[in-house]
Amino acid sequence: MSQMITSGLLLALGCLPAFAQDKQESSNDWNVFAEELYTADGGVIKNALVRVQGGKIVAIVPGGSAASGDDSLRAAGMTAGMIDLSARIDMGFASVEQEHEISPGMRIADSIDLFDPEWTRTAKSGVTTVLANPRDDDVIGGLGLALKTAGANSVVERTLKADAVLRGAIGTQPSQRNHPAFGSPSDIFSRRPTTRMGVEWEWRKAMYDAAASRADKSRAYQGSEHVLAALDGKLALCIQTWSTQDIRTAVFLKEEIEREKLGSPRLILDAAAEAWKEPQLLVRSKAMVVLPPFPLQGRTGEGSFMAHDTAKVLHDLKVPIALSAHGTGAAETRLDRQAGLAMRGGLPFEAALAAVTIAPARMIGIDDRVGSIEVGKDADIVLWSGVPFELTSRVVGVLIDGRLVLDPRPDKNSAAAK
Amino acid sequence: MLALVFTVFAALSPVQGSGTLAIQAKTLHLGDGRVLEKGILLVQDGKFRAVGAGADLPPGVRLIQHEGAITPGFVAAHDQHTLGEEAADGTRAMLPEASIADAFDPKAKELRLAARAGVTTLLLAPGASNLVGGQTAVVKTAGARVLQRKSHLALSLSSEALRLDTPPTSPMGAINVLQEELAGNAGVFAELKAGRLPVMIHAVERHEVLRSLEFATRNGLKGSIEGAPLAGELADEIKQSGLSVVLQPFSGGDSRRELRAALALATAGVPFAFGLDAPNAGPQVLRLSAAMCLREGMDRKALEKALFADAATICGVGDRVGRLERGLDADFLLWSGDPLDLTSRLQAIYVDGVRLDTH
Amino acid sequence: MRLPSPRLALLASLVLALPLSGNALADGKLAIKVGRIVTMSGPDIVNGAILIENGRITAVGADLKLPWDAVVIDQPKMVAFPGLVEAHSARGMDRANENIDVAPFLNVRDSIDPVGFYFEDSLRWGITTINVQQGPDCVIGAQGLVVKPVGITIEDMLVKPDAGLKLSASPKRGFSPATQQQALRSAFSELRTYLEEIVRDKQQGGERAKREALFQGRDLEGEKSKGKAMGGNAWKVEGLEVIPRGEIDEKQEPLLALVEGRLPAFFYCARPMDVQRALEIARANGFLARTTLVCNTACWKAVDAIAQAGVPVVLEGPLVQIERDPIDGREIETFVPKIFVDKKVRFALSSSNTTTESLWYQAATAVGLGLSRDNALKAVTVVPAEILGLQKRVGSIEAGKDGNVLLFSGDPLSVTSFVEHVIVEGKPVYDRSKDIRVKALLEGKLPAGTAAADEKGAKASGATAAKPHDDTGTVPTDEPEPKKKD
Repeated sequence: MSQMITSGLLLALGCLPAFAQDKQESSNDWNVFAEELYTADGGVIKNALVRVQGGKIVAIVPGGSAASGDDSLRAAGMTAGMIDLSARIDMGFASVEQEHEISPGMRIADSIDLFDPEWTRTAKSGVTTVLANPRDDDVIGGLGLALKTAGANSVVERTLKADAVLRGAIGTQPSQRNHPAFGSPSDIFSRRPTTRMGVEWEWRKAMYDAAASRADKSRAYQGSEHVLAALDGKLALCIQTWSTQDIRTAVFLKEEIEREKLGSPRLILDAAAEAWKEPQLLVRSKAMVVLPPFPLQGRTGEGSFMAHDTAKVLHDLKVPIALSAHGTGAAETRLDRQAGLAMRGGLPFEAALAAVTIAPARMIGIDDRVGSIEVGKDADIVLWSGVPFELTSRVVGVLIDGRLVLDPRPDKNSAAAK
Repeated sequence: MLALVFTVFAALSPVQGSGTLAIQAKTLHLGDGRVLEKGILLVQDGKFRAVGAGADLPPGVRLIQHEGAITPGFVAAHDQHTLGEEAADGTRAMLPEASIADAFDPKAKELRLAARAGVTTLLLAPGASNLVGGQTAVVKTAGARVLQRKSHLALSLSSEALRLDTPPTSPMGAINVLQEELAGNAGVFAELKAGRLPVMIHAVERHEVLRSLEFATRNGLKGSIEGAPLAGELADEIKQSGLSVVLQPFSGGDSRRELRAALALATAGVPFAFGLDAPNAGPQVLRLSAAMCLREGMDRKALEKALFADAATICGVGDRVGRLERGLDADFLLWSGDPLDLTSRLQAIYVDGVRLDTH
Repeated sequence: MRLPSPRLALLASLVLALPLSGNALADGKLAIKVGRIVTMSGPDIVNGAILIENGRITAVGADLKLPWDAVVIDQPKMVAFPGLVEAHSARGMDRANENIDVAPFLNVRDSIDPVGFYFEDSLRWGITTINVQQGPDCVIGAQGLVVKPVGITIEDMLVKPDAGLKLSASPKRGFSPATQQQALRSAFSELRTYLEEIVRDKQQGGERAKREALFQGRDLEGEKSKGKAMGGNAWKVEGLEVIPRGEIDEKQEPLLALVEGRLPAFFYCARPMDVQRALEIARANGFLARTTLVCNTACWKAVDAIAQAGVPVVLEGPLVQIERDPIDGREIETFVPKIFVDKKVRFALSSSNTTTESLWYQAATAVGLGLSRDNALKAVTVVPAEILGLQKRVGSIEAGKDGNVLLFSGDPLSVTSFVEHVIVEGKPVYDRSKDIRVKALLEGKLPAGTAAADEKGAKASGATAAKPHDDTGTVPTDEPEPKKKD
């Protein structure tokens, strides 16, 4: 009983209880060897031997040779585990609380199905950390969290960073299910917003009320403390903005907040497919961009058009970019494919690697734990059969927190984590 | 002590009055997994007066010999079908003060059917479509008795409690509402927080089980998780949380995975019990499920605990029923052989020391 | 542009006078000099050249002596590769399927749309030979054609007529497997009955077949006036030689050609059980030797039957089959091409539903999943060429074959390589630098003045003042007025 309370306290504090590791059957100590280790800063270490112990990277030895033995893994290429800030592994409408359009206090952590096969597929595709967000049917859906795609059967234990972003959307998605109340309201969807400008109105109201609550507590509302944290720049604001008019709205809103001296939000624009149209908006607002999957014929979400050289254009202007896959539904849209497509559009290899590893890590402040292969970081490692992101090479091995999720050894069956 | 051999037939008319009864059986299943060979059961005034290898019989009491087994009455740890239409309330999500005992109809024919299948104690629970369905109650299937009016607060963290058009529409919305209530610290929620009232959480999918565990652990709650056929795949996590499990019975179809999950619960030492809410199945399904578990390889002791002693504990009436033990209610069953052998017949049913008319 | 001297002007006009496209080269000589030639008929050639004359490759090698009057394409950084061969496609037609269950008298010639997007896009992705067949929703479908995706009439596009008959072992919509099989059997038993009847009729002095032929308006002259004994090695109708071939009913004639081994068969199978049924029909009617199975992913489970029958396969659908274990819910993945390689079944890859997941993508992905580079490249070049009976014409860069050459900007299977140029039968027909569509997709730039560009610019940015992809870096200054709080 007391143990339960203790563990309850530990869980509440977001720590990892020690007993969590014991029940894993597989080891978390490995010698991982690759002919080429691609580092986050664009370098290549040849014949790199990476020692993994207790779920962390403890040593990187260049110019070594592969060891043999049960705890040895080898492959042609090695990179850090990939990070997807818009993996969109969700339970449909169960992933957004639609009672109120402004729900900043809701936590997606409470609406995650770890048994959805998407998690295993995502992990096996080399994506080791994702940012889980509420679905964008609310104007402000709530708090997203960063978690590992495999590990213990516990959201808390897989969490890298709880309350990592405040998530919302600008565009058409939040207003789609609402309808005007003709006569008396028929259900909770008889409400605003029903248009794009209604969505913006909700944003503005939420922000102004939260700002006013600094002085006048009666202006506070459920969850407004998180909107306040976003205004203060302490909590990143992650907003879905497919088309360039939505990007403008987001940027102008940020600038208005700054102009009115109400705060200085940090913007992450998700699914910013049309960021290539007015890239100067992103430069001057210092917004960070998460790109959606490259559409093969140009048109993508909410009628936007995404040029194939979008990643390159933004990279050349030094706008921080991350790529995303929106789920592993089709093999063609997986994150490593997105990196390949970004390169096809002109993005250099080093930038493509960064856009799926260290850049997303930095965007949400988890780069102390993941995003690159460095001593002290989590042992989230991806092994490749050749040069990463080439169609002719694939992910052959995945380690998450030092535990084998995809086994690269040819004589063993793929031992997927539960 | 005069020992008379006395053969018991299934269709005897009831013996009136709760007088004194002494029976010696080939095997006495005590309900906690222990079995007493040639044990003697002494019943008086509706309670077990003595249970043992050699009991001192009061004067004038015949010792009846029973050539089979005696077990406590089955305790079904979750039931709605005896409530008929009364289980579901579609008007609102939150009904914390509602008591399912108010919907109990002592004359319901389903109760008789349950009794005839050997189920002597039932936990009545509200439907799964309310986030907070109300308070569960324990009843006896004979004698029209409510044994305990407030056993748990029933919560539903399954998708059945979510709506598309009224709140809560999502699990996080549901958790949010519950956390607010707990923070309010009033009424039954205060009792939950203080540990005076356990929860019975309805969860079906594994992620709903996990969510329930994390919610309960975060708030220091006791109780059970009910309704998840694959709960056993999370046996370790459930063990850590200290919660118990109520399983719905197995159907005749391919339940290999569900059976293995049940076994995992037993192996991990998670207390569990069976409910009665299999769709289109009668109360006999309880015994059938137990036999399937046994065939799958479940430890017999764990199985008997699940049917009797642990089930009673989970229902909050472990001090009243579920074991053949001095002082507890005399609810017991006479079997022609091993109760978990489906060829054995149930020959007599006693509730509160009174033999039931079973024609 | 002002030229500094008349001599340069002359030079400039000479350069401009040698167009890289157009009819001038139809009978001319084209020499392609590249950094690497992947011939698919031997080792790669570094810094080699390909000489194409009159549409045919006449020489390939490292130190070729090029004729003085050859037009030279000199791309030292590019890689030459044979034009890709699509062994089977049900696209490019106005409508892929026909309502009639058994329609062998139809021909895809009548539904191919030469200016359709499908052919333009195939060319863009380096596919230069396409076997167009009817879709799978049939019992016995139309006859197909092999075409090149160049030209605006069928005649321009035609590479090989009589490319085969389409059959389907997978039930047509509304049919069950049993009904489908019965329909297939009936088609051939009806053929047999029909032939026996007209033979009997002719032997008794009747003219039924001739009357029907005249009614159908068919040609009875020349070759068509001669009768022949029935060929084929499964069943025969005795006495067929009394019937002039022209008199045979147009619905039955293609089936007779099939049974006699004169037409190839493309037999569609969606599931493993379809394979057994397809092989049964082919064996029973003597056309197994000319059958190619068009198989969906799941059919790998019937690989033993396929191997035993010795027929090649065109693989459709995803390269990896994903099945869910019913007990523990685990996903089981099977990489299908490798199964075929291990069981020594010849197979060709095919473009997936969206044209951009086309042959090169399939080949590259297959290598990524574990197929050897050699097998993957063969599956989009020499193997489909063999399947189509065109191994002497396409599938590799060798003297004597058609001048179908792709120029890739880098290694053909690399994700960053593009098809820069396509030469079909000695004519450059595609140049990526002039491809408007590619430019639009890549950069979002549409040529100024096109209606689509103006419309897109107004709609997408949501404000009339904004211009798409404004290079000057200016941003419209129509910001909203600062709002005061309520």
